[in-house]
Amino acid sequence: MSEIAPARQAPRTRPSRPTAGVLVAGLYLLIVLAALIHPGLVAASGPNDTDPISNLLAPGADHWFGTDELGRDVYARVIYGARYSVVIAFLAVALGLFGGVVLGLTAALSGRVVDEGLSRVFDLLSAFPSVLMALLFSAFFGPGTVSLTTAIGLALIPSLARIIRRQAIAIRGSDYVLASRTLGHRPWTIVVRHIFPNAVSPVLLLATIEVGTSILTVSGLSFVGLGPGKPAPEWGSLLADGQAVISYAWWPTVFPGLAIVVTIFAITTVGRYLQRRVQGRHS
Amino acid sequence: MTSGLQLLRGVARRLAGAVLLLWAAATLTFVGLRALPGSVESVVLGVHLNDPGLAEQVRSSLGLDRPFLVQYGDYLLGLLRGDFGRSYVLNADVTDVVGAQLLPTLGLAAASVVLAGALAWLIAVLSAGAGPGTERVLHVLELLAICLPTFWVGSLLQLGLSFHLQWFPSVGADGFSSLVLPMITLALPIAGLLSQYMREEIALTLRQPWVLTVRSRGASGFRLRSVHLMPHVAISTLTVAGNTLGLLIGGAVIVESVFGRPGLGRVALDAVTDSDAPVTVAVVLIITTAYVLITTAIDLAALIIDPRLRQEAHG
Repeated sequence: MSEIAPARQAPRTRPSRPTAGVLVAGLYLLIVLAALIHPGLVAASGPNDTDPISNLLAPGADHWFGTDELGRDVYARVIYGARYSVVIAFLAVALGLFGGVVLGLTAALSGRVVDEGLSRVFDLLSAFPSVLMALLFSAFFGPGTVSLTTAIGLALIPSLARIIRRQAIAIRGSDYVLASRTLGHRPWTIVVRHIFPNAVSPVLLLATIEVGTSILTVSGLSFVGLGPGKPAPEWGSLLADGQAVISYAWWPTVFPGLAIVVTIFAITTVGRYLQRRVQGRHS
Repeated sequence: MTSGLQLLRGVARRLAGAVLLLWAAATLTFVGLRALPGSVESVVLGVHLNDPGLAEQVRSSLGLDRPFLVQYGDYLLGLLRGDFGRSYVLNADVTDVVGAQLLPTLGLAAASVVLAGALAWLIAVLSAGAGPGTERVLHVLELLAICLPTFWVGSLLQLGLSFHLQWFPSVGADGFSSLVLPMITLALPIAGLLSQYMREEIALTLRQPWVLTVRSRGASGFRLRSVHLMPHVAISTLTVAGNTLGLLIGGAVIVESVFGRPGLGRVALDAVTDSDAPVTVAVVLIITTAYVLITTAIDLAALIIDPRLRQEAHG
C-alpha cells in the first residue's frame, strides 16, 4: 500500500483549475439558463412581435441581430428559441438516461436470458440512428415536438444502457459489494446503496455532453421540418427561415447558427472539464 | 478448439445476429404501418373519406382486409424481393419511387467519406508527434468540425462561395460542381471525428516498443508514420466507423435538404409531409439494412484480422 499512496495523492495536490475558456463557457451557460427561465430578462421584444415596416433590417443598435422578413427581431427569436432547442434536447437526454438506467441495471442484475434479450433490444435500437428514428416516428405519429423528443431519447438509450450495464456488472463483483453481502445486507439494499450510485454517476456527465450533441440533432431535424413547426423560434427552424432569404440577407442565417455552435461548444467544454476533474479524483 | 473453428463460429454468430436484427427491424415497421388505425384510408382518400364504399375499396386494393398474419408474411416476403408495397399518395410502387433516389445519395455519401478519410489521414500523419501547441489547436478545430451544424455550414458555404464569389451553384444536382459544396459540408464532421480518433491511436501506438526498432533502422519520421503506423491505426479506426455512419446518414438527409438535391433524405421528408408512411419506412429500412450490413462486415473484418477477438466471442 505504501508504494501506491504517493501516486494516489498526486492529483489531489494538483487540482485541475478551470481555464479561462472553461470559465467563459460556464458564464455563457448561465446566460442561457437565464434565457430559459425568464427570456424577457434578456430580450426586450417578444419572439413573434411583427413590424412590417422594419422587415429585413441589418443588425444595428435597435435590433442587435437584425430583423427577419416579417420584421421580427432575430435576437429575441434566438433567445426565446432556447426554450425549444435546449429544452427538447434536455428532455430527450433525460428520457434516454432513464431508459438507459432502467434497462442497463435490469440487464446487469437479472439472469442470463434477460441480459441476452435486452442486448438484442439494444442492438435493434442502435440500428436506427437518431435521424432514422425521427423519420420513423414522424411517419407513424406525425411530425412534431413529441415525436422528435421521443425519437432522440430512444436513440440515446442503447449506448447509455450498455455503459451502465458494464459498470453495474463490474461493481457487482467488487469487494465492497461482497463485504456488504457478508454483512447480511439484502440484495435490494445493495442495489440502491452501492450499485445504482456507482454505476450511474459516471454516466451523468456523459449525459451532460449528450445534451450538446442532442441540440445539434434537434435543430437539424427541425430545420428539415420534423420539429415543433412554425412559428416556434426553434433554432433549426430559424435557420430554415434564414435559408429562404439567404441570397439577400445573411443575418437570419448567421446568428441562430452561432447560438447553436456556441451553446454546444460551451456544454462540451464544461462537460469535458468536469469529466477530467472527476477522473482525477478517482485515479 | 482450433482457431479456424473458432473463427467460423464467430462469423456464424455475427451473421445470425445481423439476420435477426433485420427481421426485428422489418417487424417493427410492419407493426407501425398496420397498427395505426384509420390513417391509411384518410391519407389515400382525403376529403372523400366518408364517401360510401370507398374506404373498403382502398382497404381491399392495398390488401388490408386480409388476416393480419397473411399481411405480415406477405410484407416480409415482399421485402426479401425488394418490394416495399404501394405508395398511399403517388399511385406508384414504393420501390420505383425510392429506387430512383438511391444513386444521388450513394454518390454524395461515398464522395464525402472519401474526402473525410483523406482529410483525417493527412491531418493525423502530418501532426503526429507535433508539439502541445499544434495539438491544442487541432483539438479545438476537430471539436468545432463535429459541433458545427451541417445545415449551418451548408448555408454559410452557399453564402460565401455561391452568392458572393459565384464559384459553385447553390442548389441542384447536375455535374461535379454542384456536388462540391454538399460534399464538403457532409465531410467536415466526419473528418473531425476520424482525425480525433486517429491522432489518439497514433499517440498510443507511438509508445509501442516496435516503434523504437523501426526508428533505429533509420526510418524517417514521415515514413514511420505513413507506412508503419497507418495499418494499426486504420484497423482500429474501422471499429469506430459505426459512429461515423450515424453522422453520415443524419448528415446526408439534412445536406440534401439544404442544397435542394434529390435523394433518399429528400424523398423521405416529402413523404412525411404527405403522410405517405410506406415511402418513409422504405427509406428507413434501406438505410438501416445498409447500416447493419456495414457494421457486421466491419465486425467480421476485425474478427478475421485480430485473433484475440475470437476468444472473446464466447465469453
